[in-house]
Amino acid sequence: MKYLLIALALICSNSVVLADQTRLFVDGQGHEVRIPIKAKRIVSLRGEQFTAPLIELGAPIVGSTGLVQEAIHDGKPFIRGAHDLFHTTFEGSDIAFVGAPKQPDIEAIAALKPDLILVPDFASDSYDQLSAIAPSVVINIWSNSARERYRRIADAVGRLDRFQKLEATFDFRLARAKALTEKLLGDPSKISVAIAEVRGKRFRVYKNYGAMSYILKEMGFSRPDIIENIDGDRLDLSPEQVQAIDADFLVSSYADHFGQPPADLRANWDNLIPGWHLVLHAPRNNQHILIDREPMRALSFRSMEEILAIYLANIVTRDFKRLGE
Amino acid sequence: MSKLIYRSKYGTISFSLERAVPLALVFLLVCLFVLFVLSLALGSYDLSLSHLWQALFAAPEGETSTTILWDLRLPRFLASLLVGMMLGLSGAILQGVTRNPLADPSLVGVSQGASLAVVALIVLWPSAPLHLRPIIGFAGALLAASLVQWIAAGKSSSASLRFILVGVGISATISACTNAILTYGQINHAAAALSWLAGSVHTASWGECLVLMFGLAVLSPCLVWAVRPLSGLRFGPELATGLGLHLKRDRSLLIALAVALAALAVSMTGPLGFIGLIAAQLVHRLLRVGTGSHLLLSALVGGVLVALADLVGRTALAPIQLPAGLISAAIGAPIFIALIFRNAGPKHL
Amino acid sequence: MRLFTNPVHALPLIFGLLIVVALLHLGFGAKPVALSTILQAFHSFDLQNFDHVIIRQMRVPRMIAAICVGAALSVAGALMQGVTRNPLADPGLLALMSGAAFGVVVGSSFLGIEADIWMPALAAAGALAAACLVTIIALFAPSGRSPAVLLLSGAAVSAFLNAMTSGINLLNEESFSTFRVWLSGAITTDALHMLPYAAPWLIGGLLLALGSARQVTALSMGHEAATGLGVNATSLSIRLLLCTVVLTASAVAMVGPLGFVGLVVPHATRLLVGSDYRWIIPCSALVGALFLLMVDLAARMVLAPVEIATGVVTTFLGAPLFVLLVRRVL
Repeated sequence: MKYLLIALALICSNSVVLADQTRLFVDGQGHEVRIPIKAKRIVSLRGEQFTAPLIELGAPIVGSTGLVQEAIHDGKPFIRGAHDLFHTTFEGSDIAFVGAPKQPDIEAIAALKPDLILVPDFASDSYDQLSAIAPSVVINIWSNSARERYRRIADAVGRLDRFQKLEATFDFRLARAKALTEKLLGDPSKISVAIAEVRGKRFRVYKNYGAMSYILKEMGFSRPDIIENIDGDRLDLSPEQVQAIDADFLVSSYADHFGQPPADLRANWDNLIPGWHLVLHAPRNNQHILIDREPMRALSFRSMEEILAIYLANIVTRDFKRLGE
Repeated sequence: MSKLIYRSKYGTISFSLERAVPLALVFLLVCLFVLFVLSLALGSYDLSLSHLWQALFAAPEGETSTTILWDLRLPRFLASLLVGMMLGLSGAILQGVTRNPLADPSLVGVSQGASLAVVALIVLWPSAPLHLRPIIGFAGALLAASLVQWIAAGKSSSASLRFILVGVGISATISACTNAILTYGQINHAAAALSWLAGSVHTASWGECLVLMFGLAVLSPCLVWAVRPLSGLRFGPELATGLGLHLKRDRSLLIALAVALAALAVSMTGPLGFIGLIAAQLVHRLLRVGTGSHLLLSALVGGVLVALADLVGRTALAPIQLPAGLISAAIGAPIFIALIFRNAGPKHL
Repeated sequence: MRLFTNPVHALPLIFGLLIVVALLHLGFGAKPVALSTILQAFHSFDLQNFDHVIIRQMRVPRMIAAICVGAALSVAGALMQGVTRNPLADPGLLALMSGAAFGVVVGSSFLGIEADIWMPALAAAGALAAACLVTIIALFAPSGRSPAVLLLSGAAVSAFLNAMTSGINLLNEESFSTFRVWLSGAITTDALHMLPYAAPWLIGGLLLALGSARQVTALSMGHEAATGLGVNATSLSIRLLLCTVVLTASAVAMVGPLGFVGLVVPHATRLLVGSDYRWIIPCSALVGALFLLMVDLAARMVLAPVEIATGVVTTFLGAPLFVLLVRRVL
């Protein structure tokens, strides 16, 4: 009823009467929502998952959630992901800050008079309140591949055309990279890459971790069995089992501006798993690759292409020692 | 001293009202009224007084101001008031029954049971409709509380200690399960569960308010009944028996009442930890009053505390929203400490 | 009221069990290591052999950490319960645990100290500051020095600090996901880095507790009874609280704020050996050490190769056992 009213209000406010200015969209939680065909005032409730891709798509965002951390952006609110990848700031854009992602300020959103609200599945508990304000669409974050999720977002905001252009460019570069890999290394699945980190006293291995794991998969590299068999995104292994992730390459992420500089990262490994760099093939042979975490986590073709370039330089085109050689 | 006499089918109860009680009552009611007005007027969406008036009495269809007032601000205020009252009552009853000032709804497993049930629901069935959460949470709270009761039941020699220790053990086991689910479940589900666990009224709707009001209305005769056994228990088990109380039965009934109140509150908002403990203790330390007044004042203090916490939480750092559970601890704790400095408090606890 | 009619029998039994579990702890874990390799690791250690590293540099440190922390937290809990005469008292109620968490979160969010290596120091500092605050409140309150006031001010400070911590974490999600494990306490290899700093305090605290055991028994019967027995209740209480703070802060520095042990182990011990603190204190030290060794063994073995967080295992393993014990004895 409310959507109808809002739709009605929208129609009345425009002089051109267009009944098909809205369309039906079924969101990630099965809500059937009447959304504008091409949204004009979007509020995003997740920085690195929604705001970053929306900026890449050139969609009109009027509000976004943000985070506050003393060490970043002088302690002013920043948009996670979009800040790191595109240097988008609240001050330097027309995007208003609508609170933290876990509990956004619904009244502040209402004040922006949005015509579409993008809601992440894990913060959808205020869905009823949000949809009283504007058509709201829940997008599932972890359960699908990065590209599928991106396509859903582009579809919801009515920017599929732009998405397909970006996608075509990316696919072109990916195909080139794969061809080069084949030429230089032969079958890419013969090369294994493990993503693992020691953080907060845990030895954690990742199956899915933003563009870092997505590009590895697209390029056809393999991973150690223990990672391949993870049911979910990640696993906390016992440090005693560190040899189970032995691979040609080891990838970890750092976040210098979050106070996790690369040097600390290695110190964490040393503290939890003494002798790790002797027992693991990759660090022993200087084949441990460190990647900046925050830009990598922003859902975008830009970050995927950056990671692709990193892997080309650090795995495909360099001399390295294979596992067991 | 004035005297308030209440007649019910359980007999006539008269409780002496110290002069301070009407004063405290008036003060709390004024506080509530001020909070009510402020809760309607303040928020990130600018509503001028004339708009507010219009939205309140005319409620024009399709206007954003109507949505803000009727769908957001009013149900939030009402829900926080009711939840705070119920938690305050629950804490007061539990502290009376166990004669332990640290007792609150988390001791009987209510918060943990509700948390485990809701977290399991979110993680195992992520697409479950939102309105299932309170129902499942309520069931979980009752289940956990009955488990504590069932295991603690037995020889009556050291009933209070046994009850407290079993409560601690069971609550800990349940929260370990919750923690395990949070740690080893998928990150996105864990994130959703965590925001519920923070304890907040931001999802309050009219439906929830109606359920809470209905619950409170149904339980209020029980509250009137509770006054007599609670006053008896104040003097210790021996004297209470001497006063003709059916100790074992009354204690179970009182605990059941506290559980029902807290379970209803927690199932709507998530665990608001500190309220039960602090509301009852604040009243204790401020005024030495009879049991009936103590219950009434504890309820009001709880209500004021949560309503104030929610108002501060949503406006102080706007658009950053701080959950009511967090603010109520942040506001309540210093007030409480100040009171410790001011007042010795009664010795009987 | 207790399982052993004569506590003298309990002590050697618990001690024997402790030795057995310590050996099991060394021999079993996420990765199977042959007995001969274990012996080799001790007499001819080879840094290149990872099995040797596992034994010498991973299992031994964890064993030592588990024993120290288990003993310290349990004794601290026993003292708290004795001094305050409240069964719900535990070291956490002096706001030590929430202080530790607060220290870490403030240090990393506002002071920019985010390296894992600094966490123990930040935690210990936070714990000490919070405990001092609680003690000061309790001492200067007009009604003060009564156990109830101490506990309530502890609960209030605790709740306040917890609220602050979650408030900061609300906006700080990246560090929050990193801290979550640490904030619930975890026995890991690197606990040993703090041992040189923590050990003197630990030993001093334990000795002081053992030395005051007789007076704690008197105190646990009430201030009046204690005074009647010639014990200066107030100064003893302060001394014992100091002891609790020192023990807990050193434990926190080693493994983070590990809850539950300090609350439950003393009760369990009391159910085993009765209410005489001359037995409760040494026995809870041993029971606590034994318990944490079992916990750490289970954490590495049950879901191997996955490691379960210590905080989860302590409660999973401890709470049902505790409930059983309560049902049997009380």
